[in-house]
Amino acid sequence: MFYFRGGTHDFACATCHGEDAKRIRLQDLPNLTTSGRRAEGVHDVAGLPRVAGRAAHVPVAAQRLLPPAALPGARCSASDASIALTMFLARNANGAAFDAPAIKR
Amino acid sequence: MRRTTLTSIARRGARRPGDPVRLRDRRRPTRRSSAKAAAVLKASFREQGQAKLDRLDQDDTQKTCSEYAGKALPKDVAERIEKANLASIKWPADGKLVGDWKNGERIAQEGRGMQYSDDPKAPVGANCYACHQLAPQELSYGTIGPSLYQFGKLRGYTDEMRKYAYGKIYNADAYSACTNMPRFGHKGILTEAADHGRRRAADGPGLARQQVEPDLQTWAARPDSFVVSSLALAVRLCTISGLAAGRALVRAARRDFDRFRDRHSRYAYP
Repeated sequence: MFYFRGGTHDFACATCHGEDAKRIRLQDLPNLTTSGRRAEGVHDVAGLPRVAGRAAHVPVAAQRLLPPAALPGARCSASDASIALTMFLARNANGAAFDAPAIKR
Repeated sequence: MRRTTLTSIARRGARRPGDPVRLRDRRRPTRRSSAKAAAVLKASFREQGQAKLDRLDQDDTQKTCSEYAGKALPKDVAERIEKANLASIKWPADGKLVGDWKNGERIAQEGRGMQYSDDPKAPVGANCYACHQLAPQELSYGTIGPSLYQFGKLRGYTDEMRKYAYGKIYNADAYSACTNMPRFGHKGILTEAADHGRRRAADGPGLARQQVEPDLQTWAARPDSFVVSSLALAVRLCTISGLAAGRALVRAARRDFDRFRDRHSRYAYP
């Protein structure tokens, strides 16, 4: 699904997130295909909170990213596509440092 | 902040933390997995605005390029894609390959259009700056595509190069199969300006705004328009309040002068 090209612009997720050190305008694009230590950006997209309150899950990212790719609206946050993509990204990020805020009690 | 690794959570002790995981080639899409992905995607999307579900129906180029994503494209497959896409290019009816380049800059900057939240009648931009560097004045450019700064100077102002530039924008897959670049003409994102008028209610990119702006101005300048009447009212209010304030100021100054004169005068006024 990450490599699925469609829509009016022939875009896939991999079009923008498949290479290192690319950017759209001035926005840096994380390469979501790297694994291990080099894995970047998965915290932002795969639902792993980097900063409490700023957790962006795949469905949320989809809401933001799909309109520019001229694709239809995502159905809901628990759709099969968003779960599959989350799992794909989490699998890719395996080996990366888990970067979550500590919970103090 | 506590730092653990995903690995240690998933399989404690199985691998040293930070070791990269070797991913099998199974994660790359195949024809069967692509069909499955398409079915799941269709079920997970809903139509909204102008974005209908048929946008997820892949044509041959999209299907093949999805399949070979991240893999080297075999030569015969690449040739097949390029040939089919080259045949789809519709060259300009009047044979003119050079248009209004000032308008081109505006289209290159414009990123709106085709989204489900966009008005389908509004002009569609090409958003070239998202991926390419073009004019040196624009610093906010992307790097997904190569820099096109001084493209004409470097490649030469030949008819052949103009034809290539037109074709590349019309259908980029005709020149390099499975490129990241959208097929602007083929997919109807950009159209010939003259053609646009017939195909869309509100003309093509760039054109529409040129027409809308004078329209807006004449609308605002109508003597009975809301803009004009409210402006006139504002001016009148300012004049009235200005006069009132001025009068008050003069009165205050006179009072002050009277007081000053009374205090400092050697003569007593009756």
